[in-house]
Amino acid sequence: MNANLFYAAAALGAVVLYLMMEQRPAPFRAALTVAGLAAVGLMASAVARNAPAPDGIENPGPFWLHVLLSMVAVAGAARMVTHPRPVYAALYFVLVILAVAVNFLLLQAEFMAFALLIVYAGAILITYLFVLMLAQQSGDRATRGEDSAWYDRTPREPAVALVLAFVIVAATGDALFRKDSALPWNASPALVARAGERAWERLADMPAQLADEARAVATESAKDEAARTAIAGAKLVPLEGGRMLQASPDGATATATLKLADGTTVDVTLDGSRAPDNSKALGHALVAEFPVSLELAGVILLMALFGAVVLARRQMEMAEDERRAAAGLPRIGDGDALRRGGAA
Amino acid sequence: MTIPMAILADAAPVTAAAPANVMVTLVLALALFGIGLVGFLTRRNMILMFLCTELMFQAAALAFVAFGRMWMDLSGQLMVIFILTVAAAEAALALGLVVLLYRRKETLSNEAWADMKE
Repeated sequence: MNANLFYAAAALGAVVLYLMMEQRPAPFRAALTVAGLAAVGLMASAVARNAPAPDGIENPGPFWLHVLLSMVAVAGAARMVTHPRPVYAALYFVLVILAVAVNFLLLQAEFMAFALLIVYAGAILITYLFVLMLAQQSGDRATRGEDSAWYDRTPREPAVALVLAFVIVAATGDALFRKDSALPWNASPALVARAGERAWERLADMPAQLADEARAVATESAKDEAARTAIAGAKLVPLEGGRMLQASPDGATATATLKLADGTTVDVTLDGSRAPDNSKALGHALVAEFPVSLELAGVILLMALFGAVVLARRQMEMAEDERRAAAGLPRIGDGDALRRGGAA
Repeated sequence: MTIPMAILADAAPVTAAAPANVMVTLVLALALFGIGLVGFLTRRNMILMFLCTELMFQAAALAFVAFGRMWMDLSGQLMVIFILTVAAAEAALALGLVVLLYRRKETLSNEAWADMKE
């Protein structure tokens, strides 16, 4: 593998971003857009040339979808960083989030994709837009007749920033394009088997879910109505070793045993579509494997809540007497109350 | 895992990822991080500087999910949940601070606060 093509693409991207920093006439902007997309395309072709060959996995369709989404995301990000009007910059960020969310979908992270849309595009970005509108009234002193403030139109040291970013991106990219990389680009059968086994362990941790799936599989192969009603009342019985579910050695399927009311047992084989889907598996992992991180996230949100209350509180100038009254203490001037308070 | 897309449907609960797909996502994460860094350094508007850190968060989240896909493990996605939490908390607090700063100097330029360097 060699990463030269990637470096060239990153350098082209940096130059394009540098030229985008200033306001340009429309034809020039169009040329910059084409050059920027070409830079992303070059990066994609560097990946296509250098990626380890897949061991017969999937078709190339998702790859080009990834490239298309990358173009959308990078274009949105570049415009967000260079747009002279802050509200438009925030809106371009929404575009980046949409592209990233679809990318998550392609990477089988469905829950995260929609959580990202709801939390980022729905909540965080709206907060940003609110604050931008709060802080930028029309006829702002800083605007002076232009349609954006001077500090939004003039970038600070773009050349230095771009050189720095190029160095970081190129160095990290080099690690990515290394031939002797220890990353499991092609998952070994052992890794696939372990992942499959873990999925079945999660299903075994959800007994009601597991029984439902087992009954559904058994019902599919039931011959008549009587057999179907018998299966509807069937219960799971433990296999040898006390487990409810036995994964196959390659992790692709798992077997369980159902016991009908009349004492006969039915062995069912669950295929991959019966394993917990992404959101179920994620919820299980969050609660069963990493409960502390869940608690920690709660603490962070609580602290943010406290912080927001402290920041938003109106600062009131209170005299010493009023402060004492607010705290439930007797006033200083009130001699009787002080003495009574002291006695009590 | 059932995937609602025909192109990804498979009989196994967890399918291996194609290396090129993961790699292109990691390159995208790298590019987004670089752009976010450039934005953070060149922008003078305090709100947009925070927005650029959000872009870098996005890049990190993308890399986490891609690596999680590569290792076929959910920890990457759990980390993204954490990133979302931190980003939400940061947005609430940072924007509150920015509004306070704006009330004091009537400008969003971070150079209005350059005297804090000393």
